[in-house]
Amino acid sequence: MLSIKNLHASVEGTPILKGIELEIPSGEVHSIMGPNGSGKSTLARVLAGEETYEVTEGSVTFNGVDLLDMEPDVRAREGLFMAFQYPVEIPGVSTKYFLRAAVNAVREHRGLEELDAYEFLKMVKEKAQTLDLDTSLLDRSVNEGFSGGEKKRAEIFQMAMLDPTMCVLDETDSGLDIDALKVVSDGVNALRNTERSFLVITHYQRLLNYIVPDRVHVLMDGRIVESGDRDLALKLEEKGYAGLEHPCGADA
Amino acid sequence: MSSATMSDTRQFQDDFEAIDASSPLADMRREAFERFHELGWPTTRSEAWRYTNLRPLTAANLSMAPSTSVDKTIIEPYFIEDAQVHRIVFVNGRFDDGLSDIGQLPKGVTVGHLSDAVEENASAVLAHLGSTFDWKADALDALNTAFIEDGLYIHVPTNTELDQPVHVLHVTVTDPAVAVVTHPRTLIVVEDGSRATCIESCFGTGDAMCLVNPVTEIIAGHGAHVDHYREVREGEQTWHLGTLGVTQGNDGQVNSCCLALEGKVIRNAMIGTLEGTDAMANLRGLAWGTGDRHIDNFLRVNHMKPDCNSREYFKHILDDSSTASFTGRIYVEQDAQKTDAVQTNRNLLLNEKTKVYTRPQLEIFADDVKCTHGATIGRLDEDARFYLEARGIGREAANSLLIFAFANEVIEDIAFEPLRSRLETILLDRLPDGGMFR
Repeated sequence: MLSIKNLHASVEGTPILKGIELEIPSGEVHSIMGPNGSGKSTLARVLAGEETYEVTEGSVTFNGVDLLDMEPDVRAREGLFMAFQYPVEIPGVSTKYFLRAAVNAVREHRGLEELDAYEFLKMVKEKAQTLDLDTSLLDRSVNEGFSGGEKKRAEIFQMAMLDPTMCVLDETDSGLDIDALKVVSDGVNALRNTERSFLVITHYQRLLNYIVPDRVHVLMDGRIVESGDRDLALKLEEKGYAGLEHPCGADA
Repeated sequence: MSSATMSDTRQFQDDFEAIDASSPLADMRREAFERFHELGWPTTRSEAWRYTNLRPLTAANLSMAPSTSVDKTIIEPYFIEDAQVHRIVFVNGRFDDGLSDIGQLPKGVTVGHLSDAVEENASAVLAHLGSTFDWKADALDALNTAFIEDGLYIHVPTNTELDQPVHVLHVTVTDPAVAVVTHPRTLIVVEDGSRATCIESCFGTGDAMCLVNPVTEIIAGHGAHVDHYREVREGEQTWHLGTLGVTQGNDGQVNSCCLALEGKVIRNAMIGTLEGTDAMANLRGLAWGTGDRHIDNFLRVNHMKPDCNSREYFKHILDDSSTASFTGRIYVEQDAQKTDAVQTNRNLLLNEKTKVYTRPQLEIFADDVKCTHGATIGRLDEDARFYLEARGIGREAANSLLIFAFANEVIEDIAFEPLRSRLETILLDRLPDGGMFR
């Protein structure tokens, strides 16, 4: 599904990612954990294609295709979805129109028929039901005035609508209380299937109690320093990032 | 004043003499014509016209647009779809009975020729005409007044609701051989406790230079509610220099929105005076600059009595080498305590060559008031664009959606739904890939 090899990236000349190696097979949920400043969000944004981040070395292939060669919109249409840590408020843009345009852009790319307003609303209702979400957010401008929880739920809802194969969740748990965390996690779990992979980026292992990962990777100073099963997350919770031994290859 | 300016202004003498001098309006008109000569064409040295240079216009040999009519197919594209309206059509500044379709009016309501109203009850009309602002202070307003021959008169008696909006279509037939001038005049009197909506759509045929110089006045009584819109979609070389004057009594609300979309130069002067207490004036505008269009929003809101609110919300979208200016003065009389006035001007610049001047002015003589003003000038938000792209929307479409969003904050406030959807369509149609967001 997603194969990251020796990925280096910088922001304004400062190297942030320093050789990431990561393989995510179809249908698996991987988690990346790491302290602040380790490069977690940079990885998410590089994958999504934000211009501020410059890839200086390495490769990312997505379903066998060079991901880094694609514009951000093409990545999305190819099936990559990033749930933003801070979803942008866009006053004046109706969520409904925005989402229908996005869904249709993705559908067109996949050779599917465009949805008209009626079919779109039908799909909205179905997805909202599966995720147990309230559709009233759709009547507002994109993320405008949404609470932290509403924003994250809206991201998961968009994810369900766009039907991606690779979902990157960038600190989706940040700023959520326990109830909102549960709603969001339930949404993600409802979308798990054998075709769809997830990369769950988080600072805290708390989220992983709800979204149980197949693999956990620890990112420190731009490199994955340790990988393991979900027990690794529990170990981190107990000992903290400082408790990790620096494996060979990491900065001494 | 230079003698050159004086002689320039005499170009309208023959046109002026041609109008019936026996009308009850003759004295006012003559005074206005003289006033126009005294003032001369405004120059950029005058505060009110600092950002709009009329020289190319005044250098042209302007003459009154002739009486003419147009085929219905010319005006039909400007009809508002799916809307029941009382339709009034003006061609070259003249009321066209054949093209108008006033339909059934509620009992006691008048929608018709200003000249008829003058004939029937001159004193009632004269009590209001020219009463909403100091037209003698501005040469263009004086010139309009000098040429009031006919116009539109809307009168809604006490405690009456005008069931459907009045839609006024102002068509100017331009002439490549001569720069024509029209002076449309509209008087809207909405008595105590009444409601009315009026939409003015200004457009033209042909691309020749011309001057459209409309003045609309709204007199809103106590508790009256008036919605007014002016949609400016003039010809490519049209100078649209419009003024709106509003007075309000106690408790009422007047909303007016100017949509400056097409034309060479679009000036939108709005002068609102809150003469009563507890009233609300809500003035809004959206201006779209393409090519070398110049847009001049010139606002003045006068708070004369306590406890009134006023809102000014103006947005400019500027592309190519277009320019815009916003001048907003809030005047608060000593007696007007607890005034709450907010003025906002937001500018979206899409191009290096665009320019905007924004100038808030507060003149406050009361000591317990809340007056705020804010102006912003910016480009498209890159974070927002990335967010849209990350959802599969291409860059050009994402730009379009953000421009639309900026504009839509003015559009979405339009209470009359068919007009709102019409404007949404107009905006999306002119944006690349805009159709995606229908």
